[in-house]
Amino acid sequence: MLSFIENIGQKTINIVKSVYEASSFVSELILHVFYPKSYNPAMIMVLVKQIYFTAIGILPVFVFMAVLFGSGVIGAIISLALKYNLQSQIGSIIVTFSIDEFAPFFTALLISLRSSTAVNTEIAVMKVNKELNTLKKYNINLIDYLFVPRIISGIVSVTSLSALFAIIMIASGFVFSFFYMGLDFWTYKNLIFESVEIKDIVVLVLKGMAFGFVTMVIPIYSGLNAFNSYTAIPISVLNGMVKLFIAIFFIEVLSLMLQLM
Amino acid sequence: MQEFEFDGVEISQDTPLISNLDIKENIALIKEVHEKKERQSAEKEAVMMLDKLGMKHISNLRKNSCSGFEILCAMVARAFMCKENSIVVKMPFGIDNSLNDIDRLFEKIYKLNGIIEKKVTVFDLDSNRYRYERAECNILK
Repeated sequence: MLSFIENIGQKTINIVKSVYEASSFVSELILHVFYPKSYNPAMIMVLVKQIYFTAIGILPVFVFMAVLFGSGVIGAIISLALKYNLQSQIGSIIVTFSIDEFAPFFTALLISLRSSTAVNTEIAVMKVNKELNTLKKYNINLIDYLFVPRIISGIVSVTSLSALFAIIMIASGFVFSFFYMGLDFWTYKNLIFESVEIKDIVVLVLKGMAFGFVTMVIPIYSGLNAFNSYTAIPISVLNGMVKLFIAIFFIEVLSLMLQLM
Repeated sequence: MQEFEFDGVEISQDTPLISNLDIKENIALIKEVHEKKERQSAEKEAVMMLDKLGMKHISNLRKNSCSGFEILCAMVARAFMCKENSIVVKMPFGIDNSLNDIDRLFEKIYKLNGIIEKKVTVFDLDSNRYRYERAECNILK
């Protein structure tokens, strides 16, 4: 009985300790994003490279996926809306679904699969190879040089790619509206413009920023916590990805709940 | 055993080059971060130092494409870019396993000392003492 209570106590202490460590790490990261002294030519170079790898390098695959999945999903939504006689609501259905929900969520998933895994592996490899130790010994701040550029690139990339995904989805919506409902381009354009509200843009930007932040912070933290052996790298990536996907779903559910309130 | 305290820059197996940067970027990084020097100017300085070492050809290579001695020299050049006046090389034969003659390293250090004067100290095991006995350096125990 005593050992059972001790176990619960030990587990609680461990959880509180890891939550405290993670939150102090995240708050330090956020502070450094706003410190002007975090920005130097080396850091800016890393930032440019990161934005290139995260947002530009993925573009061909991303556009292909957006056209493929965007068209499929928007086609299904339009046909369902017609089935339930919701023609009058079609504009707001397309806008809400593509801008508020599907675009940021799908973009976050794609960026997680491509860039977050890379960042997690990179940081874990640097730790195991003692390269992080080199940076510390040469008084190069890890947060400024390695982490802040990745966080900013995550936020910029996920937000801008979410907007691109939403535009592609809405454009695909026109093709389906044309064939299913016989809507011409101008009518469709007016329908969409009348349905878009400031709230939709705010939701897209905020969700993009939140997704972008977690897609980089969680892999960085997981990579940093890898043990000093090569066999620890895949375990670190695995743990990081599981936590990241939980965080993405949590943000999605939270945003849905906030919008319903 | 007498302990030596150094505030200097460390060159050891615990301070390897960064593998996702090429050699000149590794050397230039110090100036870019500490002195906020523009990338091109810092890299020009790094290439100049490599040229002085007779290793300009490795400027654009990553460490995986370099020999152990080239990596060791690049680490020395990087340490010379720091503001600190003293440099500590810890167990150079461990950094470059193929290094037979310590004079090869000292020759490169003297070349860099001609541009920027630094106090360089080498730490090694007593079992490696024989490797230093013919070299032009003071041996402390």
